[in-house]
Formats: sequence, structure tokens, C-alpha cells
Amino acid sequence: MWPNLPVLNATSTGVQPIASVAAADAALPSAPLHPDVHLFQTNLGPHVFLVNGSQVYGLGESEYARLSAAARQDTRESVERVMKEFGLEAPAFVDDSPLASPPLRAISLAVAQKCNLGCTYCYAQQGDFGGSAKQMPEKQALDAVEHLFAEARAGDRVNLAFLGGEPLLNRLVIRSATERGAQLSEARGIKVDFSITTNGTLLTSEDADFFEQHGFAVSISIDGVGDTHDQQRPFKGGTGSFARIVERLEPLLSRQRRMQVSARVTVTPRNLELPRTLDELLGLGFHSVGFSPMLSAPSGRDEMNQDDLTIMLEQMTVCGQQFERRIVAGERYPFANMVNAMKEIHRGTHRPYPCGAGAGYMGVSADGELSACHRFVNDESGAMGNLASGVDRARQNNWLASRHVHRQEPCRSCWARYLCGGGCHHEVIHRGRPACAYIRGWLHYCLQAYVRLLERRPDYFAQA
Amino acid sequence: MGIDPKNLSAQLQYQARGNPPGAHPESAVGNFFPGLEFNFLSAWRRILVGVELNESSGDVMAVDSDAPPEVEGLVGFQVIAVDVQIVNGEVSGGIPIQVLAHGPGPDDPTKDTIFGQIYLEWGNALASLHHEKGGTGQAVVCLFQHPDTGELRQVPLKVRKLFEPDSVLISRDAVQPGELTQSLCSPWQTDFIGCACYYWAANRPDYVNLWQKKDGSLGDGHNWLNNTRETKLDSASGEYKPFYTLVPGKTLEHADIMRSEDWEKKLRFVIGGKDES
Repeated sequence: MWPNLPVLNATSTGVQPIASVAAADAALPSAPLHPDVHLFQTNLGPHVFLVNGSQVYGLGESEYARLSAAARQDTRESVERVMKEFGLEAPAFVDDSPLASPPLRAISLAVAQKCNLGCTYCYAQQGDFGGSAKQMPEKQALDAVEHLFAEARAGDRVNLAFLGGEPLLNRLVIRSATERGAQLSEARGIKVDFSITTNGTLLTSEDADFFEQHGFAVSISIDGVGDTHDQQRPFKGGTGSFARIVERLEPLLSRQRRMQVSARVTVTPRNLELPRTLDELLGLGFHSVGFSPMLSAPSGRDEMNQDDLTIMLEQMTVCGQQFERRIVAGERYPFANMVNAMKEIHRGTHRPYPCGAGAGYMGVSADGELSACHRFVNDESGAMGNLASGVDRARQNNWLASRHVHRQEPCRSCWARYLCGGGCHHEVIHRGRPACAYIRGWLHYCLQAYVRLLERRPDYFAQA
Repeated sequence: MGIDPKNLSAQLQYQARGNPPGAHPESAVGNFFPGLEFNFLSAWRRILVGVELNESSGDVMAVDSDAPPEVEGLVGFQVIAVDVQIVNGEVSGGIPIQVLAHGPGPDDPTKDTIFGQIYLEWGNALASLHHEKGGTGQAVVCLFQHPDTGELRQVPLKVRKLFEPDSVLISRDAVQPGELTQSLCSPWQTDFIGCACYYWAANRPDYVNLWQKKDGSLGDGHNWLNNTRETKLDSASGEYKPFYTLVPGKTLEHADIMRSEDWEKKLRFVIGGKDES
């Protein structure tokens, strides 16, 4: 289907399962050679990614050879010396000190801890997080919104998200919490962004108008087209949900202006044909489409293993190459993973955490319990206090200290550590880190693609 | 060198060799007033053809690769006078580059006090030489002295024209790329005496706490670098008034301003020409 473009990292299609993961990983160009640098080749010459500050430099052949030789030695000093000579030394941008008591700026409300679908891999165990199905009372939601705005001042920006379970099972609370948020925003000069993650089966035309009015970022959990989606995201009775979703999506997709409706695809071993899924979903009219590997399911079902991740990397690379072609042609191609990667690499994003969980972002359960994020509802390992008495600062600061990427293995010596941040906390705590080679492989490809696109379409990056 | 910063964090971090921070668009003092990031004094380095001088001290820093032996040997010497005459083996006349500063002292105006060797500002000292002899191919005899041994040498050198023909563009032969921004406009380097455009001389912003005499004429004021802010008796008014001094020990040194951590305590705010109280 796609023209034969060379895949510029070593993994090629149809790879056989390899017994020793470590050996396979070490042979890859994306493998971690030295904690401070990552060297990569492109058709525009050799480059280096300096881990400190996420800096990308083109190198001459002799500079590359010197840095490469230094990186192969066992010490950090060898690379430090060469960097100093090249004028590349810099103070550390990220040190060991964790964030401490950061202000709350984003919350997600689990307005419904129940769901009408029975997705195989659901982190919420098909909606109720293993407890009794419940709704968030309106008062609880409004208190949470007040709490969010209370910590902010005029000019600040806050984010209010609705999750679950399936949030649209508690439409009333979404409406009134949003309206309260809009009121407080207006009154206090605090900018608010609204978002919702939904399975899409319960959307109505009125929802479309409401979300459009408030400029929601709407994320639809959808795993492909037709059977590809249905086999892992059925209704609780077992029938497929795809047809219903498409029908219910129509008013949202056609009305999105302030609202943005994106597709979030959970990738399992059963829906690995990513280029097809990407184009089919874009064809439906989604504003963007993003892929996320299923790494940790409470049921253990449909989790990705090493071979699956290897295939996923190949598939993502094919999607990326299509992205490159389209951007070079001056077209829009909202493959979300790539759009984000290009933005972050161009800016030189570098951070010691994978996200704001437990820092500026908290999840609120139907009972008003606070947790590090929406996945940790009813999960002690991410508990952060409750709304009534506020964020438990001791727990929070302990979380932030222990989850800093400098304290993680094998992260602390990996070149990707400030782009990856250590991986999703929930996945890591419950399953560990099976996806490091995938992440490095993907970032390695993205670095190469970045160099190519910067050369061919510098205007693409002008907004970053 | 093959190092090409590509993304934003690399571009922000990377300091390319040869461009001092003072010349970077984002940090140049020229953002405050265009031209402050240039030091025109740098154009005087090659006023004498064949040698490169330090524009502040007169040291011979380098010589041209095709310089004759008597010029080659000048590295390490200082030019102390140009266009001198040799009469019966004796050196006389010419334009001094260094002079011995002496005169009435601040403590006893009746005594001749020696303040030390000072280097003349070349925009004054060499202007007529440049005007008359620059670019003419005529050589003038220049006197050099070694600062350690005291040895004197006389070498004839031609005077360069610092501007392109029929133009006020600074000559490409006189200044290499990057040289004009290697230092700043003089006052920005705390060299207030070297101000070649006379902004400093005309405005004397180094005077603070000015006072008027009873008859309305200008009294005196403190040197803004004065660290003691002493006053003296003004007989006409019977009051103690500020006076200007350059005496070392009573004024802040370069290191006080540029290198000490408490420079903000040492320099006072001056509002409306007067020290903050």
C-alpha cells in the first residue's frame, strides 16, 4: 500500500521473535550507548542528541567520529572532555531535586464509575474500578471545580477533564460542572480548558452543541474501523460498538470548530495495522489520531509483549514516513504521536517526569478521593488525599521524589530519559517497563525525521 | 567546525566561537542604543601598516606575515610616539602616545604631583596624523619601547587610511570581521575618558551631586565612582561641598564594579543628579 521507503532504523518488517531482548536491543542504533548523548545518522549527515537540554546538533564527520569514540568508552569524562572542546558543555538543566508541593492546575472528574462497554483491557475494569458502580454527586463535582479555581489566580490557566468509566452516563454533572467552571473563569480571569474522554456510544446532538460552545477537547476511544474496533471494545452484552459510535459522532465531527474531536487508539496485539487505522479514522473526520500501546490491563488481556511492540514500532514508523511525505507536500496530516514528537524535539522539551500526574494534575473519584491521575481511582499506590482535606502533601512530595526519573532504573542511564520521563506511572507500577526499546526506537526515528523535516519544511516548525 | 545547532534548545544554548555575547542580537547592548556594541577604538589597531596594536595600551600584538625583519622584532614592544624626527641621532618632536600625567595635586595645589603614565586617546592624538598621512604611502618614524627592558627602537612605518576611498566606511583592511564588537563603546567598559564621540565629554554623566556657587556659577560635584563621598570647605559659602577626585583609593576600581558580588552596594542610585538619601 505504501511506496517502498527505506526504514532508517535497523528493525525491518517481518522480524522473527528474538530470544534475548537485551541482546536485540543492544544491537539497535536506538540502543542506549552513553547516558549523556545519543548519536544518529541521517541522509543529511550524522547528528547528536545531547540528553542535557534535549539539544539536537548536526556534526561533521570528524566531530561525529570523535564523539562516537568517546561515547564508547566506559566513563562519562570521555564524553565530557569532547563536549567541552566542541563548546557544547552546559550546566545540567535537570538536577536531582524533585518538584515540591506544586500548585494544582488540572483535574479529571470520574463523574461515572460505570460504563456501558466491556473493553477487554480497561484500566477501570469495565468502569467501576473493581468497586460498586457509582456516579459522582453534583455537589462533589462542583466542590472539585471550586477547589481547582481556588488555587489559581487571574492569568493562570486550568484544565477540567471528565473521565470515568463512561462520563456521559452522568451528563447532568458534566453540564453543571462545566457551567460552574465557565462562570468562575469569567469572574476571576482564570482561563479554563475543558476536555472529555468518552467511548462515543452515548453522544447526542446536544452534546455536540455543548462541547462546541465550551471549546472542549473531545477524545473518542476508538481502536480502528469495524471489526478491528469491535473485537476489543464491545458493549457489555458482546455486540460491537463501532457502528453506533460512527452514527453518534456525526454531529460532533461536522460541528468541530472551537471543539476538537480526536481519536485515541489503544493498540493491542489484535489491531496492529496502524497505517490503515490512521487513514481510516482521519477519513472519518477526526481532528487528529493518536496511538497508545496497551501495556497494563487489570485483566491481563490484550497486553503488548516484546514481539508485538517490535511490530508496533515498524507500523508507527510507516505512519511517520507518510507523515513526512505529507508535510513535505505542504499538507496537514494529524498523526498525533508524530505531531507531538516534532513539537517536543524542536523545543527541546526535557523533564524528569512523564506527565503531570501527582504534580499539577490529579484525578478525583466519585467519592471525592484524590489520586495521582484518572487511572489511580481506588488504587492505593496513587492515593493523594481527598477533596475535603485537600492534597496530602506528604504523599505528594514522596511521590514526586520517588518517581523522579533520576531515581528510576533503567531510566537514569537512558538517553531518552528526559523525553520519555520514565513512562506512564500506572503502567510502570503495575507492569514495569516492557516498552523501553519501543520508546527508544520511536524517538530515534522521530529524531531522524525531525532533521529531515527541518531541512525540507522549516516553515512547519515556525509556530513551535 | 562541524557543529550545527538544529533545535531551539540547541540554538539557545550554543555559543558559536568568535561571537562574543555582547554581539549576540538578543544580548547586545545595541538593543539599548544602536552603536553601543561597537568599539570604534578597535579600528585604530592597524593605523600603522605592518603591525597590529592594542588600541588601549599601544602594545604591538602581531605583525603582518610579510613584514620585514625590523618590524617582525617589534612584537612585545609598545609604541610611545609616532612621526618623530631624528636629529644627530637624537629623537625629538613627533606625537606622543603615552604621556606622563602630572600637575597640581588635590591635596596641595601648589605642588606638582605625578599621577603616572597615561595612554592618550588616539581619536585625539592621531587624528591629524591620519588626516595628513593616512593612505599616502609616506612612512613616518615611530618610536617603540619594551616595557620590561626599556629598550628603544625606531622603525619607519606607513600610516593606514582607516576609511575606504571617498567614503566613511571603515576600511576592510583596517578591521577584521568580529573585531569591532570584541569590546564595547568605551563608557560601557567603564572607560569614560576614551569616549570617542564626546558624549561623555559633553555630558559628563560621571559628575553627581553638582552644586552651584552663590554667584550662580557651577561649583563642583562628586565623581560617581568616588567611594568616600567626601566634602571640602567652600570658603565662599562656608559650607562643606562635594568635590571631584580621580585619586586611586578614593574611587571604585574596575574589579569593584565588574567582579565583586556586592557591586550593588558599592554603586549608589543617583536620582535627579543626586545620591539617593
